[in-house]
Amino acid sequence: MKLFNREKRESVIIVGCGSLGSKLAAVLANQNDAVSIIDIDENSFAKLPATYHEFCIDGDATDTDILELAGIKTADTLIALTNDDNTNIMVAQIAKQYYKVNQVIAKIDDATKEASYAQTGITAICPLLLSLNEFERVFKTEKEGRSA
Amino acid sequence: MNILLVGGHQNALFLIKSLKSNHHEVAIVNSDRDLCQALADAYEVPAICGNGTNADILRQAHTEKMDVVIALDDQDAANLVISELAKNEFHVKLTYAVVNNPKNIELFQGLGIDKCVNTTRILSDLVEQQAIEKNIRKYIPMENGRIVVCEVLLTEKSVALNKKLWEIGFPSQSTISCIMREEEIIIPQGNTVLKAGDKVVVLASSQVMEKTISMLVGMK
Repeated sequence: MKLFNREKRESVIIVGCGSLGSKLAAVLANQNDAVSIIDIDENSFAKLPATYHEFCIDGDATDTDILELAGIKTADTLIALTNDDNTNIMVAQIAKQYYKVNQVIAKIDDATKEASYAQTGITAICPLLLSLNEFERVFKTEKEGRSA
Repeated sequence: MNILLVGGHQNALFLIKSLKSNHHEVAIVNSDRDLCQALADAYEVPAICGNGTNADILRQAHTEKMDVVIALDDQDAANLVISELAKNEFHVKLTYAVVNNPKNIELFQGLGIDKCVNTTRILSDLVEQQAIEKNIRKYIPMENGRIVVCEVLLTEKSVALNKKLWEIGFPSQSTISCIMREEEIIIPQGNTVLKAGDKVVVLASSQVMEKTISMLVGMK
C-alpha cells in the first residue's frame, strides 16, 4: 500500500556542472529529488560523485531542445549556476516566462544586475553579496567575543 | 534620434557610418578599447569602453537619454541582458538586438526586445524571394512570416485569365487585395475579371500562399 502513498519526487534541473552545480546536484539526488544536470562540456560531469545516478545532459542550455530533453515541461525547479551571468539570466527567463517553471533560481555574480531581476519572479543569488554579509557577521561576532 | 550601439565589431562600424550620415546622434559602448578609440576619433562619437551588460557602464553612456538601443554582441544571452537593462533600468523605448540563433527570436520578442535581427532568417527569406522570382515581383513576410504579401504578375499563360474571382475559389485564408491594371487601381470584387498584364496583390497566410499563387499563374 505504501507504494501508492509516496509523494511525488521533486524534479530539479541544474544548469552548469561546476564546483557549485555538481555539489548541489549530489545533495539533491541524496534527498531523492529527480535531478537533471546540463553542461556544455561533458568532461565537467567528472566532478559529480560516483554515487550520482541521475541524468547528465551535455549541450547548450539556452537551446530549448536541450531544456526539453532535461524535462523542463514537468520540472518544479530550475537552478542556473554557469560561470556566465548572461547565460544564467537567459536560461532563467526562458524557464520562467516560456515554460512557467514554478521556482527559478539564478546565480548572478555581478551585484549591479541582481536588483533588476528581483521583480521578474526569478530568485537571484549573488555570491559576492553573500560573502560580504558573512564576513561582516564573522567580524561582528569576533569583535563582540573580544570585548566580552 | 539618440542611438546607442552596444558591442559588435564590423557591424558597429558600418552602422555608425550610416546612422551618422542620416544625422542621428550616436554613442557606443564596447569592451574593445582599441575599437572605442578608433571609432571615437574617426566619427567623433562618445565612446564608453566596458562591458555593455553592466548597468554602471550603461549609466556612464547616458542610456536613459537614448531613443534606441541596439545590441550587437555575438552572444545572444548578452544581447538579451543589454536590451532588458535598457528597457527596465533606463526606460528606453526601442531596443533592437542581433539574434544569432533563429530559435531564440520567438523567446526574445516576449522578453523585452522590440526587434530581433537574424541574419540566417534574412538569408533564408532572400533565397525564398529568389526561388519564386518568375511571376512574383515582390514578397513581403509579416508577423515572422505567418502572413505574406505578394505582388503577382499575370501573363498570357496564367490559368486565372478571363475568370471571375468567385469562380476561382481561393483558399479561405487568402484575399486578392488589389489589382493594378495599367494606370488603373482596382479594388476587386467577386465578379472582377482578371486579364493578362494585371499586377495582383495577394495577402495570405504562409500556409495557403503557394496554393493561392498557383491558382493565379498555374505553377507548382
